[in-house]
Amino acid sequence: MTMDTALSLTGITKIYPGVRALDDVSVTVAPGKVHAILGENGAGKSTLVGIAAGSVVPDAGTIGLAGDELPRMFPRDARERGLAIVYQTPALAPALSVLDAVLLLLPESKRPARKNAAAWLSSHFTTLGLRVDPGALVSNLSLRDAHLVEIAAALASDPSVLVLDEPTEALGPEETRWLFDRIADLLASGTAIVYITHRIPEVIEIATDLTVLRDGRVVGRGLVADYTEEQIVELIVGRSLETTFPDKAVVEPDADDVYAVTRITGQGFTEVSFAARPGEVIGLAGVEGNGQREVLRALGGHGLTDGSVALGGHQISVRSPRAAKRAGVVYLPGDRIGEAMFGKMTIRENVVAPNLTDAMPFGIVNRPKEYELTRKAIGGLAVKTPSLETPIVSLSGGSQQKVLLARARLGNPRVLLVEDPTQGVDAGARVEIYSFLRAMAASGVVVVVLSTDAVELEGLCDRVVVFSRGRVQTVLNGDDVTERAITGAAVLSTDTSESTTITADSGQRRRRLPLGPGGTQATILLALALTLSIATTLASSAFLSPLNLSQLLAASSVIILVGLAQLLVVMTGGIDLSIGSVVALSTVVISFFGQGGPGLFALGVVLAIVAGLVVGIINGLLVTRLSLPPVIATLVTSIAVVGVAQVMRPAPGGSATGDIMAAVGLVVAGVPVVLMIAVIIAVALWYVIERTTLGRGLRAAGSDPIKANRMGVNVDRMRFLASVGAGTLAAIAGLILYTRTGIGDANTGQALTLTSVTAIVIAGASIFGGSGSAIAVAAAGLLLQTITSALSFLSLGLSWQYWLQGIFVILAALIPIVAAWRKGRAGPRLR
Amino acid sequence: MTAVQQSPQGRPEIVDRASLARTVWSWPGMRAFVAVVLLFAVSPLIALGSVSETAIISMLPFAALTAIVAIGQTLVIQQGGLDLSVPGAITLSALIVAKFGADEDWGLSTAIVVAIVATSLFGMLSGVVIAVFGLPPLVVTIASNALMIGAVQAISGGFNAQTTDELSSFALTRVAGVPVLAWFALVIVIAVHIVLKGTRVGRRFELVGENPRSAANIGVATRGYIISAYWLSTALAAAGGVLLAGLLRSPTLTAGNDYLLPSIAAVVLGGTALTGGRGSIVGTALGALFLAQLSQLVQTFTQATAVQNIVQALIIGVGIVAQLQLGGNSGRLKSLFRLNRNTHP
Repeated sequence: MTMDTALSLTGITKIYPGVRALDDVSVTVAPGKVHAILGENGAGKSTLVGIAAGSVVPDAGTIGLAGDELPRMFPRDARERGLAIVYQTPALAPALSVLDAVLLLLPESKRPARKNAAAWLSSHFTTLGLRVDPGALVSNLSLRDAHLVEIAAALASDPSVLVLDEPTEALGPEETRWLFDRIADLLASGTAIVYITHRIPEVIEIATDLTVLRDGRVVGRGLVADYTEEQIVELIVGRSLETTFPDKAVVEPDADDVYAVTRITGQGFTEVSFAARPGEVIGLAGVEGNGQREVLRALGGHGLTDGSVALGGHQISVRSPRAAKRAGVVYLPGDRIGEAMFGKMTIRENVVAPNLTDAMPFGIVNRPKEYELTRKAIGGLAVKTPSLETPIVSLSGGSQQKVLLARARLGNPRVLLVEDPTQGVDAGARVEIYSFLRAMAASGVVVVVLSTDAVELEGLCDRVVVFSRGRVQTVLNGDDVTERAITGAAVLSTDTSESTTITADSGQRRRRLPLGPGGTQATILLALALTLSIATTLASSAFLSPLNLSQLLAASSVIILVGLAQLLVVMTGGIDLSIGSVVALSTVVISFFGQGGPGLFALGVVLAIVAGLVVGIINGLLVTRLSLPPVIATLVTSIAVVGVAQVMRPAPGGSATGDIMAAVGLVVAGVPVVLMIAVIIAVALWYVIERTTLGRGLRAAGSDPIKANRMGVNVDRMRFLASVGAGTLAAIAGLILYTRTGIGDANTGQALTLTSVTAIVIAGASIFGGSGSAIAVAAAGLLLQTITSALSFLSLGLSWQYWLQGIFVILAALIPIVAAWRKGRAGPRLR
Repeated sequence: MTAVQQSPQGRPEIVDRASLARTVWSWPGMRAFVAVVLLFAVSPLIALGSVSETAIISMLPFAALTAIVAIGQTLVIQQGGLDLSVPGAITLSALIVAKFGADEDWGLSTAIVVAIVATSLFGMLSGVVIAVFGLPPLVVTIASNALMIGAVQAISGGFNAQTTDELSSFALTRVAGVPVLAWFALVIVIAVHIVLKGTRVGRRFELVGENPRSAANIGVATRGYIISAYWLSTALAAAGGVLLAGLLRSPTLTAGNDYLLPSIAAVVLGGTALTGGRGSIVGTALGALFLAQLSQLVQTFTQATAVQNIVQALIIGVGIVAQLQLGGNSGRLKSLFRLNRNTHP
């Protein structure tokens, strides 16, 4: 390592199942220069920078950064060592606010004091000319704004190495200009820039050095100035364009359209029309997020709300994937693993899946027939596999795509919609796929291809539809289909549009409540509790007696604590079914210490809490170290813990002395001390979750573990801490329960697991992890106990307690989802 | 396009499937099978009486019950979910059949039908909420379990009910020397296995479980399969409850609680991935047999249920960890608690 090196990657190899993503790759990045990493989709660029940033662990090689040579990097360390990265898909956990996300991304030395953080970020955004609300939730940002926020965070961290992975993909020309100016500033101060792109003109404009990857190997490196644009393209593609792409169709100029899309409208696009003539391959293009993906999906049966599609002169229905299939439309999504393949199933099962009627005409499985169909389907395509019973996920990207194309062909489609056909496909398979698509078109199938790669569209398509802001910007035909024209039209489009400037306001303005949205929820729940109390008092005035009230308040503290325990775990994306058992264990432990003096009792308190802590540690280890699903891990410990409690106290017993009961049952100004303790814990927890780095980490980990990891959060550590916290809180709940009942009972508390889930759900915590207010949970605990208490005054039985909880859980969980459905009809969002 | 297999030079021909030995060895239930064989082999070394005819005959009904419930659980796990409402379903149907089976107006057969059908409606409810709204299966089945426990409280008024002699003597019948419950389980295992592995419906069910979004994209109506998984799981748990009522004569109001963990453990031990998709019904049944024999073995050492619970939880925990680590499918489990893949736009 010398002073001329800001970042060095040496001999990096990374193997994924079925593919060698990187093979002995070395790159050295010099300070004060832009180093472009080039290659086709799937050449290994993103994997390489992921390794530098710590989000991907290499199988071999070392990473040299800030004077150290390391076999692997951790995201946090990379950021602390001055490496900032802007990912292709913004790595911002959706449940965080913009402010939280930026603070989490910054290295510790650059992080402003919490007090001034909001003001600091506002002024940072203003300096950069950004108008994003620091209080907005990341999930409410557009893709473009999320990109800009991530770039702003990277700039604020004053990096010595800045990695930009396809940064201009989601940006318009003005924002690109803005970004290049920022890059110029950084270069002047000696920052090294690693710039990944497949836009060659950008490389020529800003980069000094380049490294070209193809199929995970370095195939070219040197000074950008030594290459012409054409030479760079050939290096990337690996052969001349003429031999890569098949000949285009020869179409009679006056041929009728065979496929006509007329004024279709849906979420993210409006009044889109285009047509195809027989034998043509149609391309869809545009800057990311301009509606082209949504159009392709809609044509495949997802979300068309208006307009018509005609095939061979007849209207076809594509209102659902089933309808589309019936009409002969096959849609091949770009997210192969998530939306197209059946990963763990075999090649045979994947090929036969959409063609089950052919394979099993009488509804009965016929293996030989399946093999016959599979062989027929993959005939002519070089699928690299030992047998037809190989799980598809273990094939290379190219072979996977070939299997999917083969299965599409087997169903004799009339329209084939393909999204990113060569994403993650090696160069050899690419050529095969292009000629496959061309052959399909020649045989009379309408082929529509969406690609982010303008070179690919130029080589493959007879006609390219360029999108802008959800509308067709232009349609390029014949000889006009060139990379330059496609990119030009896409970029131009954003230029002429009304208000897509960088200063466009974005993100919902959040009302600034002192306690955030949780405060509102808490107020509502408390109001409900109050209303219910009044109603019950009208029915039975005894409800309002001081004794009953203080009983109610003291009892609610148990629910509050178990709710908080569950909140911690659910917030990090898990669930804890052992809470009730820990409560029981805790009451049993303390019951052995209730008959002596205060000293002995205090010892019991400590031991009970330690017991809860130990269970929490066990749960945490099972989940993080042994990768057990939280539900199974905690179910197992739950049963073991109850067993331990039963062994310690086979029958309920161990009543506390009157002195102790009086001491812990203390009521100050009408409020039981135990409730005060519970509320203090709730407030403290609220502060930790909302206002500290630890809390941001907890929320990020639950909101999106992959993005959280990229942001530098140690997800496993967060889950572990949450489990330990939950065990401890449940043990405290057990102590309070003991002070209420004065008896140790191993069979108590099981129902509290359900109650803990009910409490967090009605408190508005996201059951998918990432958010939740401890204060709202406290209010929910109070409401639940009020209900329990009211039920007995209204002479409704125990059954109602269960029914209400069950109904509450489902309804409260449904509300945010239904609300999201209603709201979610505007623009692309971060997923 | 012709069906000719083109094999480029230098690349070996693609075969239909690997050799028979490898196919058998890679069968998901293989580890459960080996485990069962080993357990029965070492049982007499640990406690001689544990493999006697009496011991086996008394163990089989519990293995059968676990198997019946666990098959339902398998179907739900195949859909990437988890059914935590099993205890409520077992308890509710056991209570219905015990309380109303003796009722002259009802008659035993009506009570059995009502117990199974009425209880299964709760499962249908879970399935609809999960499939249509995409709520996490854990939360939904916790809630429907609460609804069923509420029904148990309402119907029972807090007291156990006594089954008719008719049902309890039937539950203890032996056919060809084997407890009738074991025959029940066997028939259900075979029937579900045939539907799942031998029919188009079964194949679609597994496809939807493996990846509902992919299935929807190729035109499969996924919701029906998801709903039916939860419905069948609850129905099978309810059937188990009826048989349990016969076996126990006076089922307690928490009778179902003992079957939740075993039902999940049997599925995991049987080799069905918790991430959903392909399932092994036979594997699950073997898993249930393993668990029942294991608890038999533990009982020969201690009569205290508490200790039995601890030991069993530990062994089940070890078994699940071993199976998941060996199976290498412990990733992607987060999906259990995440938004149903089905409902993303």
